[in-house]
Amino acid sequence: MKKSKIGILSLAVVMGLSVFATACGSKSSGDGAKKKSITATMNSTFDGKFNPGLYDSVYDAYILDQTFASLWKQDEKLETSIPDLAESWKESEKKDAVSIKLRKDAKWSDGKPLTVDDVIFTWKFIADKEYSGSRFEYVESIKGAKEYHEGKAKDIEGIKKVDDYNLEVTFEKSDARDISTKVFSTPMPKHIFEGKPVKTLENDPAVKKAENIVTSGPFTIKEIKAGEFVVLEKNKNFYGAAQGKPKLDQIVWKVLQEDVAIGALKEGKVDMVSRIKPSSFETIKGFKDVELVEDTDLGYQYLGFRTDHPKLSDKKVRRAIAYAINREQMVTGLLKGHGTLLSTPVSPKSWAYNKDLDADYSFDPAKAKALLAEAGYKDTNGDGFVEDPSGKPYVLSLEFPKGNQVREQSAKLIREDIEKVGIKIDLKQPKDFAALAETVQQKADKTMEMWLMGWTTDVDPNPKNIYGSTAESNYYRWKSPESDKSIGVSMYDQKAFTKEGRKALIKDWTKIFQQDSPVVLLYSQNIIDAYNKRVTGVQYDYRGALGHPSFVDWDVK
Amino acid sequence: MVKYVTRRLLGTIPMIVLISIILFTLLQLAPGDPLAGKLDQHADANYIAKLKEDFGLDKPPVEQFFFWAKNFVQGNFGVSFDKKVLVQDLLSERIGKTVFLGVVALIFTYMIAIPLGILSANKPYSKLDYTLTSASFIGFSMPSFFAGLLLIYLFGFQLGWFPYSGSETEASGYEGLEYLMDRLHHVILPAMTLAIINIAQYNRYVRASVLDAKAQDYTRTARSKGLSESKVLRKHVLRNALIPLVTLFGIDLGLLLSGAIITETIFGFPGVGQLYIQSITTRDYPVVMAITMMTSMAVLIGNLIADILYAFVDPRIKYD
Repeated sequence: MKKSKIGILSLAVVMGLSVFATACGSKSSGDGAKKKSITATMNSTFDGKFNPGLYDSVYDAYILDQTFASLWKQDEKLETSIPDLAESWKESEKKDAVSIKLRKDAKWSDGKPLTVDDVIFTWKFIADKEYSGSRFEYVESIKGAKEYHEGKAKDIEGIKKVDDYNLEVTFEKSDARDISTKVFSTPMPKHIFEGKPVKTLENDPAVKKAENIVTSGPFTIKEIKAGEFVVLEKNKNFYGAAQGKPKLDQIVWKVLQEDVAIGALKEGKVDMVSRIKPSSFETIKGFKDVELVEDTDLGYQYLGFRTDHPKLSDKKVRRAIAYAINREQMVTGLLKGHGTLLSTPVSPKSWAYNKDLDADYSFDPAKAKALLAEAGYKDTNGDGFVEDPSGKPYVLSLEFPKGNQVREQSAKLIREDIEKVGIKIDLKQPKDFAALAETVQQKADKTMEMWLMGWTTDVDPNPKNIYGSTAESNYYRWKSPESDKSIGVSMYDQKAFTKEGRKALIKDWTKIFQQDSPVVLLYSQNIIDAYNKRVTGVQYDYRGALGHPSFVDWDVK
Repeated sequence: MVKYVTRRLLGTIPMIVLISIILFTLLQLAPGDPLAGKLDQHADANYIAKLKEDFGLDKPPVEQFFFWAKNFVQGNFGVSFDKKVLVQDLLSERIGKTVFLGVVALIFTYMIAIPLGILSANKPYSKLDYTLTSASFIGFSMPSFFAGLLLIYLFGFQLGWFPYSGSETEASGYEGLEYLMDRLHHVILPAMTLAIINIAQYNRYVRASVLDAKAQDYTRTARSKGLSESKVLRKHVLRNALIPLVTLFGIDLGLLLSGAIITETIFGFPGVGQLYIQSITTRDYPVVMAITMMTSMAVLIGNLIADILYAFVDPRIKYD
């Protein structure tokens, strides 16, 4: 009997509390109206490593983009051309040195001036032997960085501080690549991190705790709730503050599953939704007061070959498969037009993109059949599928990971297309991404033949990291001295030091790539962002609206 | 009693050891490499080798296990492979929220399921009983992602009574009681989502149990003594009928810690479940191990608590 009384009592308490809480909730929205605040969403949770040298996740990058200033930024042609912390910079003619001049009014959010010392500290941090992150590559080309990294030198030889706002960097050798890939551009505050253990810096409050993070960009981090939200607040010490930038007082980044985020966008409860699936495009199009923007993403999807596998070592076969796949159908059908056909690994968005190379990378089943016949693959037993040159049955396996809806659907289309030209395909069940990636990466693996996967790419068009013979990412095991030589020329040869020259050299390499077909390039899915029209000043490009540097000009009506 | 509890607690140790061995082996056998997620054109061979060394992945599995076990016993859950931060920091950020969600969901479950079960049993095979039975079946077969979205749509968007996501208001500046109220306001919808399936299940148990007790001789005796129906129900029927629920309570207690993967994801509720699913996807073994071990231990302890509670609710049971 006692029990039931307690029960009724607690029920009453819960009900009472919730009514009270409702009252509280409605009150708070009135308070927030004074501030110029918007709410943006991310589909999955951030890691919470808010440090330019340490972050891994793309969601952490969203926050870092708005809170940390860089030496320079990219424009929409993928050129490093917009000054940010660096007022100006000048590369030597041979591209083996650069002098950088910092702006003098830049400050950290705690009021300390941002100087050359911060920049040098950051480079040395990334080059440190104990550094646990993955960005050493961004300082590797500086002269003496390798020696420092291996612990053989006390300093990095190629860095010279001229004064607090000027420094000079010498590179190991002449290198045509974009300055953004040779020099890590986002400084960390030296006065905060100096003397702290490099190896375990991830656990430091100055990386994780809102009140301890010191930033240099338009916003500071005000509040972090793991897995839930990050609140950014206008940085009063930002160098643009004198010009009234940023215009917003606050940006709230909320972790929200896509379906819920779209519902909340419709109800006007959130203002911006990032990276929307193509299949949701039509739904959002009907929303009142919502603007949808899209542009080609820099990443792309590909079908990879194990070029060292006896079944796939003949490049004519690989070429035939490339001709057999109707990639256009994927863009119009699966992506409903929200994507771009790809013929070269260089993005169509880049200044280095050669449009005339598209012609020989088309859908041509007749050519595919001819190439197969030429290579000796013929249907000798009349079952509709080719046998290999020795007359044995020829079946290729195709694997793909779970998780990307469009990619999963594309696997079936690819099988159909390839079977139409006469190669029998054994389409495997999809695997977990981590499981498939493990096999793809294994250097000793002999089981894989073809697989589907994607790459995100850099702004610099250099193909070495993804297609160089010795690159860790060369999962296709494509060993081509011709290609390596061509890549080398496009990086280090004098002809590469002008834009036109380099573009032509990259074109030469791309031809080799297309002829050898270590992969079939499939498509680039568009970045789609949506925002409430109450937010003004939004611009977008290949980074989407939410990743575009114009966010300092966002305002609300 | 003390002797019994000590014996039971000691008995859980081999269980925990066994669970950890099985779990570790399974994770080793499962396809997928914790470093495979780092597929990035900037990850060169040196970097990957260094990570392997840092995480001890270059050592044989048996050695890895003992290394893990030694640390675990000392309360050190290791470093997350994916995020490179201490696992205990990741967990401590989230465990409070998950427990809060679980407790509120349990309160909802008991507050609603018990009265409904009794109502059903009071007039079995009546219209009310059939209605509640049908409702239970609907509730039981409704997937939680659907229930969650439905509640979000109705109470979050249409009526606007409750927040549609998260565990607290962003940048609210709330303190003390106001903060608590805000948390409570946020937890109601996800807790209700979790409770729906339990309510559907529990009110069936209660109904069956009450019907059972009503048919017992002691109930007939109580009635024939001339007691009022309500007294019969409260003193004789319910006291006996609710004993089996104690077992369920023990299990629930254990599951409180494991979080609710789907519900937490839909509501953007940052609990252990959300972290768990993320860690499984990225093969972040130290985090998966820590959460699974914690849950296993909680279930073992929950069962123990249930057994002890039994002695209180059922005088016939004695532990010596």
